[in-house]
Amino acid sequence: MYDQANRTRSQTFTKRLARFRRKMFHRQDPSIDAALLIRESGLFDADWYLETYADVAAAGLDPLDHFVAYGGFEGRKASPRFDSRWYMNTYPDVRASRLHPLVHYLKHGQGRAPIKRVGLKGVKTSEEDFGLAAELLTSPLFDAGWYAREHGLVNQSPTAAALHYLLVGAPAGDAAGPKFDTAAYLRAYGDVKDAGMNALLHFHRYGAGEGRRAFTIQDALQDRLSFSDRRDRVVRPSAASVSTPWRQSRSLRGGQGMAIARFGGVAVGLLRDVYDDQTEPLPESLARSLRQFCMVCGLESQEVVRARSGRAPRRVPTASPARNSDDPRVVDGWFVGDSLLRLRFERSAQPVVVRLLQATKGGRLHLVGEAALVEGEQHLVDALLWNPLEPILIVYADLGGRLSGGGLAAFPSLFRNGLHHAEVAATEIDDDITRRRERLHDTLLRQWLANRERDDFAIGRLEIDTLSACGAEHIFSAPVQEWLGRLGVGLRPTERQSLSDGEDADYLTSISQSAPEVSRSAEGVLVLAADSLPTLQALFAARADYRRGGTGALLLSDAAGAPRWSVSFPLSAAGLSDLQPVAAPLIMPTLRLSSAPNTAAARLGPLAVRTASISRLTDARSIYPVAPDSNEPVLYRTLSDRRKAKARVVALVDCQRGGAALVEALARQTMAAALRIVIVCGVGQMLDAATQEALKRLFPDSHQVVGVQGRTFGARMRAAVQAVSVGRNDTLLFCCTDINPHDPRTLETLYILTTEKNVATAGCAHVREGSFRDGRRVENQSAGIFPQRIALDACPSLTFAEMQTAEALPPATYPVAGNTMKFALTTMKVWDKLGGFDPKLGDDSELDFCLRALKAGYTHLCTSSVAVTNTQRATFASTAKRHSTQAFNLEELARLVDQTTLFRALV
Amino acid sequence: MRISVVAPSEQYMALAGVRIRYQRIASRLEAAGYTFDIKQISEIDRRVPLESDLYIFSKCYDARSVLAATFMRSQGRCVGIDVFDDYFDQTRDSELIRHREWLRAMGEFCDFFLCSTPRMHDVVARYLPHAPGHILNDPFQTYNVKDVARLAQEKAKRAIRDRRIDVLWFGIGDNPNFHVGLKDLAAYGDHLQQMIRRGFDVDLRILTNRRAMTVEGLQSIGRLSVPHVLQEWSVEREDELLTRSLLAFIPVNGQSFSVAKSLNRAVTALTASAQILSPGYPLYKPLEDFVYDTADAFIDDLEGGKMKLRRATTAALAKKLAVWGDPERESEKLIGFLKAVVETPAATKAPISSVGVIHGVRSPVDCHKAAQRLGYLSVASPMSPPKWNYDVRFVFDQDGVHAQFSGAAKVALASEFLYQLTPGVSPAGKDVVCLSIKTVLPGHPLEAFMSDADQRSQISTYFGAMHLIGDVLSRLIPGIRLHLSELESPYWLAFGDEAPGKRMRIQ
Repeated sequence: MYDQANRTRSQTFTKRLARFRRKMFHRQDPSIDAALLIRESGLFDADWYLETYADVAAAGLDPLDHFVAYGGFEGRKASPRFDSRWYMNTYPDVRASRLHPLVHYLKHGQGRAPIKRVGLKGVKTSEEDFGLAAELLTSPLFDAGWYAREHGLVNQSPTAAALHYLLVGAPAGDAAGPKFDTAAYLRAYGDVKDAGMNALLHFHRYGAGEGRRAFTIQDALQDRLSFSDRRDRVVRPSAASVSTPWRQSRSLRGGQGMAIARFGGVAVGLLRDVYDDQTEPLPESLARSLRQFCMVCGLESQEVVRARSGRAPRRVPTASPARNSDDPRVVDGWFVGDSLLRLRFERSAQPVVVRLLQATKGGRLHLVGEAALVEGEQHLVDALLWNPLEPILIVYADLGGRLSGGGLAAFPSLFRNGLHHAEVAATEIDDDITRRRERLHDTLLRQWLANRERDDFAIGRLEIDTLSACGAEHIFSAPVQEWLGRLGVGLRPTERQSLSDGEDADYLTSISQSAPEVSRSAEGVLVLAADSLPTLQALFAARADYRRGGTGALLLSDAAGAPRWSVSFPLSAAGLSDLQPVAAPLIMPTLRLSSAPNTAAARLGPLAVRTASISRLTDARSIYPVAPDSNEPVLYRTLSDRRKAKARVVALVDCQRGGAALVEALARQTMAAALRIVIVCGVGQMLDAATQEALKRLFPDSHQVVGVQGRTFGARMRAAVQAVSVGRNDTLLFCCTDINPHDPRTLETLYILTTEKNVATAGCAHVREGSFRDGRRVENQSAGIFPQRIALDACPSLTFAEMQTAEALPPATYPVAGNTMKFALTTMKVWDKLGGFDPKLGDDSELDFCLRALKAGYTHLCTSSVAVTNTQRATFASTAKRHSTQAFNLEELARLVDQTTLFRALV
Repeated sequence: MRISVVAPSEQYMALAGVRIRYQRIASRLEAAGYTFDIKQISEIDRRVPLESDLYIFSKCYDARSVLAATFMRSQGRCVGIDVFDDYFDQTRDSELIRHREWLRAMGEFCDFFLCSTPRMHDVVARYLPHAPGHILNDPFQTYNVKDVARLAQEKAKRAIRDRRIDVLWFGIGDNPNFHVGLKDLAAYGDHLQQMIRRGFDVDLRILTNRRAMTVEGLQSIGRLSVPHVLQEWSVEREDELLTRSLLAFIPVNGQSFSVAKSLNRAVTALTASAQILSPGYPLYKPLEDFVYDTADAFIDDLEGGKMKLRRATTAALAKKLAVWGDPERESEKLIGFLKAVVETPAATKAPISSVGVIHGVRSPVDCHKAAQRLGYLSVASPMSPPKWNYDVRFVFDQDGVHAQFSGAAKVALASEFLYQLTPGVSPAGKDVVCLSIKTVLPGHPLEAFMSDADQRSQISTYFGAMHLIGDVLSRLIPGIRLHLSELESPYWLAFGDEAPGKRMRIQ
């Protein structure tokens, strides 16, 4: 029940407050909004006010409103940092001004004290000390009363207690209150001690934000007890059968000729004292890993390494004179959560303690995992990572704590379920996924270190296409943006943003921008869809690796992170941006380089890992990839009315059975006026009544029926082209009655594609009706033909197949090796130039036509931005075709493959 | 004035659309002298007189509401819709065509619309430019300011003492069309992990609908690196867990569906003394003084003893909520708006002699029943389920196409066809009367179409079948007004001469 009394009181108060404000402020200075000014000053503490003035709390009033209207004038304190009464009494002009005392102080009180300064006897205090004391008084961990009692500061103000703590207590390690043990904090964080900063102030200003812990007195006592009795602190290794004790990182203690080695303030193990404040060198593998870790994290190894609780060794130890590490290696790893990495270590020859460290923004190191591994056992070690993309330093020590070796996982995201694991899956097939990951890891690390040294990277910036994005994609997450920032890669939205409007578009634009910590000098820009991440290979490649520019390859994984497809686009696809659908996000990652491309280079490696949301591919989206009631055009490039009026398309309909549905669908096409229908029948075949009726009704003056001989589709179509008169500038539409262009924009979309220079054929996606997996009523099939397998044996051959491209490619236009010609367009010029289908080749005549076109320098385009219905049971995909390459030499074969989009299923 | 809210079923009564938006203001409307009730759409029946002056449809996204609105308008009642989920702004998405078609169809019968946010108002106004709209903020549950302050303080103290943060994520966990619910929870899970990194244990409770607990849903939250417990949502459990939890975790993504949402989840959490962490799109900007957008800011305040929701800020919260969902204020504003709507004379409509609904591939049987309950004709298409007792269906046999009519449909037939009727039996076994299309409409393309229909795919058949059936019916029953009942999105009718973006009417 809402408190009626409170509400009434509050309303009355609000009215009085308004009257008061009018009276007090508006008359003097209408520009002053006292409440805002006071709130923003930070000198008013609402909690403290309510605790101090119980009458205000009991009335349920807003403390700030009360202080503005009454409290200040009544001489109440705004907080321990501003005493209204003292201020008004000390400076008589305040009352005379009739201003609120705190407003007066903020606007006119420069150089004046806000509270009475009470110094400490025998201790010299400065104005800055008073400021720091005031800051301490705002801390909930500083208990002035408790501190005063503990230190015998009888009848002293809280400010005096704070000053005492600042200048006397803290340097001596005294607690600030029961909730903050100064000595424990300094013990735990040697860098704070080194810096000479007040521990409590450090905790509030930096420590809490960095994840450091505030120790209560009780915590600290327990820690001290356990430090003095090591048996309480030893922990058993994870294998239950082994009873060997080991020391955790925070229980490591030096002494007896051993010094604690700390990396970035984190105790990682012990090193033997040698002489004169010098320790033994780090084991070789650890020294190397540490050096690389520091390089890739942008840290100085001199700053990172500390021995003896804070004192830096005279030199950074780099090589071990005596020990050969036989520490276990990581054989596998997988993410069980977004940040929870589980590493599997191989059997070790001797017990060993593993510590995992990560660096975060600002160069701070964190212990993210720690475990003891028993000899002869395989072990799983969990690490809750600060950032699943940042490198992990692996430190090995023996059970007594002495450092024995190290390792580096520079790219944790390559582990299974990681954001870049698809890159491992896409490497050359090899039985051992671990070896593939290790090889890729080592290659990438080498590239990174070498190119970092020369500042020679191909990519300096990412541009994000946020069309269809929702803002929850990985690229917008803090870990990814921090990681990219550390790598020197900035983010910017693409110009396609302008297609969207509204608050959501503004929001997406705002989160697509981030500046790197230190920019790379690279001028290359990688343009990505928002559901993508740049591949590691792209990020660490040198300029020379990508000198061809253009487009690249794409790796896909589903929502669970499992790799599904590798899709590689030919360079020619980069010039197809005008032919992409308006409503769809950017299909292919594109690399823009300022230097001229070198066309002799090999096909590019994958540029992006993209999350394909296969579950979003519904029947509706398959049938109409672009919503039919949308007012937007299908493709960026459109056809002017003038060109549409001039267009002439001859539809050659292979009429095997009733063609009425196809004729009706053609009549509904937006380019129906340009159509002339030629029904191609076998000699003696009768056209059914429904088709005849439809032709008469819908194409009364622009249809004809021809009877031709021919066993195959290709032979009949060739005969039909010869039988009818087709103009040199006409376009041919090959179709059959099993196909239905249910979307009225299909013909126009394909026609636009054929107007592109050097395009031989244009086809689109096919959907088949039936009962399919997951209860779907349609199945997608690309009518485009893709090279599936190359056999370079005694009889070299290429195997082609259609693919279920809609799973891997959302609406897009892409080059293919050919189109199934059951619903495809070509121009009469191309037909003439290539000599049409070869009737001798039977069912292979369409593929042969397409391959001859490729050989002659043409391209075939397929688009999944429109679809047709296909009732054929057997499709090209179900009978993958093997095409002899005798007609092609190897060079031509390579060029053919290079002109085509390639798909590969990943496992 | 008598006001009725019409919900699709009893199940929807407990959901936010009805529970939050109407049950919380019902008593106030009644106190102001208005009769107010919530009905199920199945209660709208021609044989039962309409008692209310004004009807508001809530979450009725199928043809039943179009038929009911047609009926109400024919009875001189004021009709409106309440739209608070944005299924209408994604004009590029084929999956949501049926929602857009529904809104366009309802637009013809709506005198007004209600919505929950200014953004939703803009979206709906694009479809219904003639209708006045009103923003009804989701009213909050009444609460006690002092209890909120006390409980918030206790929770914060407990969290500091135990170094444990009780977190609650609550809400609908799935949506077939949008990346929301559990997927958002998973996508923004790093904020919860950050709390662990900052030295706190996190106890996450997830309260969601059973339907969302699919393999995919569980897989999503399985990637959260924080311990969690999943429970089925209920009002009582939501109250209990919000009261227990220090933090309500409400991530919001930036897609149009999500950014059109109201403030209700945040308001519910705040009035139950929970702090709010809402990373992502700043949906709760109006309440920004009480909402965290990063885990670090939340932990900083927790450790600093200055949570955004605490004793010192509860008075300010009360002031803020009074603007954004005070049930009293919202009911007053709603009454003012509805009064003006009722007083404005509706545009006169030509009387409709007959109304029919053609069933498509996936039409709910309730729609068939609703049509007959309202005295309208239920018409079969070649794609609709064969066994229903339709008023009109078309049958093809060796003699050509016959239209079969029930007794109710026979009454509506133009008089010149009555003498050509012959008796027959429907596939459902009912006595019907038949008309030979070949006889009454010689040369009509429906004849050729149906002879060829079994050779066609359903997708390609759909458009032709619907249009030809519509054409035949409009000749046999002059003046008939036809609606389409279709829950399957791809089957869309705006083809032919109509420009894309405009709806073709079947008549």
